[in-house]
Amino acid sequence: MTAHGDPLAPGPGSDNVTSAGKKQWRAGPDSHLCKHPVSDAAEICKLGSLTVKVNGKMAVRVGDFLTGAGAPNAVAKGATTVLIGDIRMGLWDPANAAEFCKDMCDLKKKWPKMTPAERRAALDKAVNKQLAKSGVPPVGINPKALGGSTMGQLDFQNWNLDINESLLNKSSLTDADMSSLGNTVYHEARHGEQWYGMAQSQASSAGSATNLASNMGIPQSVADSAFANPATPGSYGDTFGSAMNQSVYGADGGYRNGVLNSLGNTPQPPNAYDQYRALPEERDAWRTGDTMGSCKCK
Amino acid sequence: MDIASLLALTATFYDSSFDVAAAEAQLGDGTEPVEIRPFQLKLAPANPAEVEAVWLETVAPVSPHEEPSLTGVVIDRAEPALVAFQPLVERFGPARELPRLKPHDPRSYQFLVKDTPIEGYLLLSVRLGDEEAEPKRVVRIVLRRVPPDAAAPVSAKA
Repeated sequence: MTAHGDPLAPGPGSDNVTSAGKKQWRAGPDSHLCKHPVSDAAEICKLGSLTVKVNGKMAVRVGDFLTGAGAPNAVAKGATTVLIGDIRMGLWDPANAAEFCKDMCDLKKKWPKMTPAERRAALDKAVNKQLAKSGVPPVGINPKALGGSTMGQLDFQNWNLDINESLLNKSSLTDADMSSLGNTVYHEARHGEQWYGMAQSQASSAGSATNLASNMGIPQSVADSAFANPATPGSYGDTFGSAMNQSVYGADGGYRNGVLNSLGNTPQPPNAYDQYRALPEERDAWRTGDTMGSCKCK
Repeated sequence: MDIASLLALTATFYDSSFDVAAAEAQLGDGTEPVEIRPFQLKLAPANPAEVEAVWLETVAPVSPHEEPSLTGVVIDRAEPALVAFQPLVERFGPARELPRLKPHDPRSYQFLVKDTPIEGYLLLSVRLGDEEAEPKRVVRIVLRRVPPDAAAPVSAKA
């Protein structure tokens, strides 16, 4: 059953793997024809379990999104006796999130006595300590006039994480500032982890690091690292990188570009923001950044 | 920066004599560059009214070179550069659009640079809303070239 109220169909679901007697759904090959509110638009899941695969595809679970031309849908009901989870890796790993939280709390305490350069250096250390665990080349922490309420953003072309310079110049941080900064930095760093995962998943087919850098528009040094450390076929990293790659550089890139474009339209289409949040790379980055929601400094 | 200046810059950049020191001399204000991350230097620009920042990208020295090799220059414009794309299409062939991360990010167009002493690509990021304009307001210019002993990129996937 989906959140829009229809039974999942037509699927077809796996021919040889069942969950509680029903054909197990897979991300990619199985599709749902949504009849709500009006259309019969085909919807598929683009991000399922990263660690449980069925017929080589990510298993679809309750809560996973189904996306197509209309409003994002979700799997609302499934087998109650079969639970398919995920082993959280990289920045999504709760242990890594807890360590980052601790580093951010330490930074908050020291913040008033630090110079902006020292704050930048501390953020650099905290972020890259976590990224290094996944083998991701260090991102630069770049103070930048971002304007508005934007605290930070990944600049994958430059392999930097831009941080709002006005924030680095603040003499102290409130709990709300720190919570927002931690969430933003972690979310954007996750995008860095995704981009590197995409590079690793493309590495074996790119032919050379130079092609990889050109295909993705990333710095040569980052492409060199990914090319030397390609994703192992079938591994968690390969599944993760391939899912992100499919959405950004692969067959779903056109859909993604349309979603990004629609957010700039006036008036904004009613489903545009929900579609944006349901993109695999955004869904993954939001759930990773949200692990900072439980970060409370003593 | 106009199209003539951009083409002159590409002619300079894709020549083997253009190295880190030459880039610092031409694009920086003479102060010491800052290392933001490994293989990346940030220069204070020579003309801050027009240019917000200049980034130099390198890779580790490849024998017989003793210094890190320059592989990229990224110029973030404080004042968008008006660049006509048609002469670039005539010079380099059609561009392809690269993905962007955020909805508000500018769109980036990549031209493969061939038939130069060192090959590579030119990436221009265009202010949102200028995609169909000619000339376009360019907010970032990226010039990247193949490192020593590496083969040029063979194709850009559409």
